[in-house]
Amino acid sequence: MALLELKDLRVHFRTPNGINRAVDGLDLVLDAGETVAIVGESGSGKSVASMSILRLLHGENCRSDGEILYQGRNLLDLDEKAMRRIRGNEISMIFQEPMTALNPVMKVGRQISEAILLHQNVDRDTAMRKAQDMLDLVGIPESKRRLDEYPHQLSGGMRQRVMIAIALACEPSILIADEPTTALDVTIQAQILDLVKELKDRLGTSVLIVTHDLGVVAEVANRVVVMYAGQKVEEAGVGDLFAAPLHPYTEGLLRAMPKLGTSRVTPDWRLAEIPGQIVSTIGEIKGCVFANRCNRVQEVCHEIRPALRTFGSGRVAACHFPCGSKVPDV
Amino acid sequence: MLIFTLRRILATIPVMLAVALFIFVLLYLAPGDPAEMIAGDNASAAEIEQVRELLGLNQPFLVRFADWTAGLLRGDLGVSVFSRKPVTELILQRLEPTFSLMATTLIISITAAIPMGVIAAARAGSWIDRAIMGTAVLGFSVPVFATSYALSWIFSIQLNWLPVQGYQPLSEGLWAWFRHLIIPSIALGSVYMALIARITRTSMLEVLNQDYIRTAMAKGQSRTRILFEHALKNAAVSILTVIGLGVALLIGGAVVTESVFSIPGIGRLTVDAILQRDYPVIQGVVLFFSFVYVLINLAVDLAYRLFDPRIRL
Repeated sequence: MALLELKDLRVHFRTPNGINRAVDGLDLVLDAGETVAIVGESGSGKSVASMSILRLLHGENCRSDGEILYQGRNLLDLDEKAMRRIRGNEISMIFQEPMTALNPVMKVGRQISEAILLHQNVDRDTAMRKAQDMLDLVGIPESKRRLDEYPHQLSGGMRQRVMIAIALACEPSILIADEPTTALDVTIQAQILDLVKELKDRLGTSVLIVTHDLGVVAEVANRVVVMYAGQKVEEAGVGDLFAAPLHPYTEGLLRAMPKLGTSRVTPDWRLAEIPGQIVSTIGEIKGCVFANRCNRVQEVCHEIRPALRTFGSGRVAACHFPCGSKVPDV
Repeated sequence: MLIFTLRRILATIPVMLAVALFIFVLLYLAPGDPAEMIAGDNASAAEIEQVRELLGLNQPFLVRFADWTAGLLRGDLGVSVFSRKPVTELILQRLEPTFSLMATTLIISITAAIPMGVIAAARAGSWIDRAIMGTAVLGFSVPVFATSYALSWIFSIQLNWLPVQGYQPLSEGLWAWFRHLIIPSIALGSVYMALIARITRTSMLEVLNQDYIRTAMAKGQSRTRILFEHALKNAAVSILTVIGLGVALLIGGAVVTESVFSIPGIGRLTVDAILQRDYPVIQGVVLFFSFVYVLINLAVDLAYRLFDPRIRL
C-alpha cells in the first residue's frame, strides 16, 4: 500500500464565470521514503492539489472529490478533529512565501513549540527544548537566542528554515513543500534544497514537492508528475523524463531551461519558449488541454482528449502523438 | 522603550498647550460679558467695572493668557463664577462618578465588541455575521439619549430590575455602585461598541487571509485558537487605535448620559456650567477632558508595542 495515494482527485471552485476545475482527475502515488515532484506552470493546479491534501482550501465555493488515501484512510472522509491530528503531525507542509508564512507577532520559539504541544504529550519546557533542537537541526546558529526572536528579525532563508523546523517538529511521514525555494535567492535555494534532502534522509520523511523549477526537480526528485490545466499530462522517473520527455509540454518545459555553456556565439543561444498562455480551467475543455499551444498538434487533438497511456515501466503520458512518435504532417 | 515613552510624553506638551490656547481663545471670543453676568442684573456700570478689574478682565489678552497658563501649571484652573469654589476642586469632587461610568463603559463595550467582531469575521457572510453587524449599525445610529430612555424604560420601569437613575459611590458597596451604572454604560457604550465591533471584523478579515493563518492551520491548530491567538493579536493594533480615538465619543456621550441618568459627574458639571456661562468651569472641564483624551491616546501608543514587536521605538 502506498503511503499517500490520490485517486481521481478533483478540486473545483465555483466562480461567477462558471466552475473552475483547478484540479480535474489527478492520480498520484507517493511511496514511503520517496520524493515526488509536481511540475507545472502557474495555473496548472499544482499548488491547489498540494493544499487540498491537508484540506487547507476552504470556503463554500471550494469542493474536493475523489480520494486522498493516507495509509489507506480517505482524508476527505475525516472530520475536522481527526484532520487536525494529521496536520502538522503525520503530514506537514511548507509554503512558498517564507516572508509572510510566519506569524509576525509571535516569537519563533512559540511558533515551533506550538506544533509540538499540539501533537505530543509534553510540557512547555520540553516543547521549547525540542524547538531549540529543531532550530539546530535546520542549521540556525545561536538557536537559543533565536527562540526569543520575532520573524522580522530573520532573513528569508532563515524564515524558510524555521518553517521547515515547524513542519518537521513532529517527525511527519510526509512533507509537502509548495514552491519552497521560489521566493529565495539562488544560493539560499540550494541551501534549502540540500537541507530538505538531508532531513528527508535522516528522518525518513517522504516528500511531495511542488515547483515550476525543473532545476529543483533534477536536484531532489525521484519521480516527476507534470501537470497542465488541472490534469496530469506525464509522469516518469526523473532520469527518464529529462532524457526523453514524452509529452510535448514536458519537452517544451525542458527546452525553456537555460543551459550552461550556451552564449550568444552558440547557434541556439536564445531560450526556447512555449507560445501562448495556459488554457483557462473555467468551463469544459474539449480535446487535449495543451492543443492550443502544442507544436505537434493535429486535428484529432482538438476533438478527443488523449487518455493517459503507459509507456514502459512507470511512465505515463496523455498525448495522441508523443515525442519520438511519427506525426503525420510535422 | 524608556526613551520612546519619554519622547511620547514630551510630545504631548505642545498638544496640551495648543489645546489650552484654543480653549482660551474660544471663550475670549464668545459673546457675553462675564463681568456683567457676575455683577448681576441690577449692577451699575461702576460695579461691573469693579468686577472686571477684580477678575483681571481688563488686562490685555496675552497677559490674561499667561496668567491663566501659569495657573494651570500650578493646577489652578481658576474659580467658579457662581459657586466661588476653585474649579479644580469642583472637578475633583465629581471625578468618581465620571470615571466609574467611563471605566464600566470601556470594559463592557470592549469585552462585548471584540468577540462580536471576531465571530462576525469568522463567519463572514453568514446570518450570524449579518445579525451582529446589523446590531452594530443599530447601536451606531441610535443616539445615546434614545438608547438611554429605551433601556431604562424596559429594564427599570417595566421589568424593575435596575434603578431608573442616580449614582451610588463605590464606598456604598460594589454591587450598589455597579447596579446604577449598568444601563448608563450600555447606553453610552452602544456607539463605541459598534465602532469597535466593526473595526475588529474588518481587521480580522484582513488578517485571516494572511499566509501565517494557513501555516497555523497546517500545524493542526484549532479554528478557535487560530482566531483568538494567531489572528486577534495581529488585528490588535487597528482595534487599539479605534479604542483610543473612540474615547472622544464617550466623553461627548458622558455629558448626555449623566444628564439623562442624573449622575453627578463632570458631564453634569459641564452642562450646568454652560447653562450658567460659568467660563472658568467650562475652560477647566474642557481642558480636563482634553487632557484625559491625550493621556488615553498616549497609553494606546505605548500599548501598540505590546501587540506588535515590529513597531519601531
